[in-house]
Amino acid sequence: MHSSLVRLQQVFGFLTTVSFVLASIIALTSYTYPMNPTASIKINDIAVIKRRSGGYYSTRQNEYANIKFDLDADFESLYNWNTKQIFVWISATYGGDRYPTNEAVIWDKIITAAAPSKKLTLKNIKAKYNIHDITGEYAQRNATLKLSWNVQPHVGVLMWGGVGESITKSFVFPTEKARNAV
Amino acid sequence: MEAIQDQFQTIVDGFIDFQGQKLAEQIATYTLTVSAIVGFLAGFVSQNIVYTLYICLAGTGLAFLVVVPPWPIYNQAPVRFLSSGNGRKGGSGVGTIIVGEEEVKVKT
Repeated sequence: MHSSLVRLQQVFGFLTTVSFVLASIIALTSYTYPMNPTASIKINDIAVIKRRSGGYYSTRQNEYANIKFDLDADFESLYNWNTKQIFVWISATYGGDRYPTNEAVIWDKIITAAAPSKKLTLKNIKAKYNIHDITGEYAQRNATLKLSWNVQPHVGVLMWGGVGESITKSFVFPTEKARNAV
Repeated sequence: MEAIQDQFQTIVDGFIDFQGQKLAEQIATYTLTVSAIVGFLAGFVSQNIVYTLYICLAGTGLAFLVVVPPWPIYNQAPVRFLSSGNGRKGGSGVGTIIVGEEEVKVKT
């Protein structure tokens, strides 16, 4: 500590130690808050239509599912002093013969800590993303809608979770409404 | 020109005495630790991590400001060397050093 440069290095060196310990403690406090958001989904309408899949010149046709739903959710418990924002999404999961595990996101949203309300009430919302199956056909398969969340903290690791089983919603993909290629 | 260079070098070096070094180290340790603890508690109690950030930044700035420049408080116990006039070969001379507050005669 005899010269300015050495003192600068010393202070900075100890600062890194203090910062790391402080950040670790802050990150650990995230685990002390119970995270149990609640939500309910109601499916209003599922439309399956056939459209050209690729670009303008493609002739291949795919079935696309567009889902309209209501969402009533309370994410209040995901917010604590270390929450920067949360990312929530609804995905449709369904089985299949050739590809047994499928999951496709139909809707998502980022809610920052600064948002005035951490409750969501969506009425008759159209899915953000039209989904299509890898085989190109839904063929009246059973599917489930699931709400999941991801907490992005100021300091620490991402936390993932899904809203309990009660939130999942089963439905059957309907047959496609006949529609000519656009 | 050389005088200016020396002066500049003195400012850049910022040498302090041994007592000052001990004091500077203690101040740095306590300032950073205390600001981290206070910042954590303030943020945790108010559930607002921004308070933690600002309090810790303030503590850090204060620590750098107080510790890095060679403030006069760090130079209150300069090391005094024996005068060179007594230092004849053979060690027959007598000098004084200061121990605590007293001057003590020593053979050189």
